[in-house]
Amino acid sequence: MKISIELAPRLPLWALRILSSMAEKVGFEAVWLSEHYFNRSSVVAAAYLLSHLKRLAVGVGVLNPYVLHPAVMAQVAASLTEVGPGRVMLGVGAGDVTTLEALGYLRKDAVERVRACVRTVKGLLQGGGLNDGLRLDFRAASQVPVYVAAQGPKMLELAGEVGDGVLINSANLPHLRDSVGLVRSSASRSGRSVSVEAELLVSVHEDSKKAIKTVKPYVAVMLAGSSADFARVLGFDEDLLSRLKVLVGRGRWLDVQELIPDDVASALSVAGNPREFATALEGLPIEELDGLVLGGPIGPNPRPAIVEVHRALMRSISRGARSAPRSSAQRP
Amino acid sequence: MNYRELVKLVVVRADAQQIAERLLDVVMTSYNAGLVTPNEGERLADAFQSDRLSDADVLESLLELAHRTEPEKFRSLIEELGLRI
Repeated sequence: MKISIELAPRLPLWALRILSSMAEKVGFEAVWLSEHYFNRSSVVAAAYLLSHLKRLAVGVGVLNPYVLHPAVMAQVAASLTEVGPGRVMLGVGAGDVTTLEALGYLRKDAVERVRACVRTVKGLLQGGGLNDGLRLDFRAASQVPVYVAAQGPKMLELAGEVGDGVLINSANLPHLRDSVGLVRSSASRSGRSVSVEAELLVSVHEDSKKAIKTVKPYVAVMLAGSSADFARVLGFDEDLLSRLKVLVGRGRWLDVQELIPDDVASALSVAGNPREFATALEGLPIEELDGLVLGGPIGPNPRPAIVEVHRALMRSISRGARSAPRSSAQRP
Repeated sequence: MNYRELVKLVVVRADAQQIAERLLDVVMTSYNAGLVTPNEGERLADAFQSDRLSDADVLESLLELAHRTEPEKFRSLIEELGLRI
């Protein structure tokens, strides 16, 4: 089980380095850096962290093919391997509707755009020139696994078909097992092996209410970028969803915290005090995953929260391993 | 304020590492973290990575940065240690 953390470069680079270093010290294997145009660049942050950390793998993304040409993604990933050979990961996704609209892009044919993007990126990273004349005039110093970020069923299937890994969006938390199944079936049909990893929005603090309040802006960004059907299931009609989008677009996080009910935040995240966090982990099909990416705020006070979530997760995994039925090969 | 003198008073009243970590968390979670210059932040990150957070010079920086970014929290922490500023 690969355990990663996801950090948002809304923090200064030096603070990202401290949190990543904390994650490295307690045993996380990788850090993903989320990409939003209004934050610091995930690519620059990745180069910075790769140069300062010795062991932690660093993932960029997810980057989307509307804003960034796939050839540029390949260029970025290959360049980063010269800073941290063997420690670079690339995430590709369609991006959320709200952010794309703010930048003037129409999120159209998302699955096909991502499919073409992943193929181009992988083709260029493997060193070949492509039929359409695209090429890189240098080789990546190491392989770069390309992850597909997926939420809906078609994107999950695509991830199994073309990705080296999949990052299952936290929105899928209520039906995570089904999402994993879709990726695995698709990968199996394609005769491929895919690292199936779930992203969780996480917030832990002794004060449960504070933990939930802190995760709400992250839940709001996710909800604002989701389909109207998805939001409706959670009690957000069109009017409420429109208001949420406006607030998210303007970065009015205090108002967002008022608008998102606690139960919606809890349904789409793993937030609460350390006991509640541990209990929530027990309910997840962790044994069906190849990895977990703990994202979101991690906690109102993220540095000690990183230690707490890792400890709870390790306990949960070891309990799961003890209670899992042994295979026939292990039976005496 | 003479932060170097304050360090001497703080370390006789509390565990230097614990105080350093609390100050670091105050600075990192502050909405005013942008008041920390990139060079100051770099020095903090260097100290954190090399386990030198409780060194006197780093503690001095942390006190100054906590005071700059979160004056109220800084004052509370100092008073908690039985000191006045």
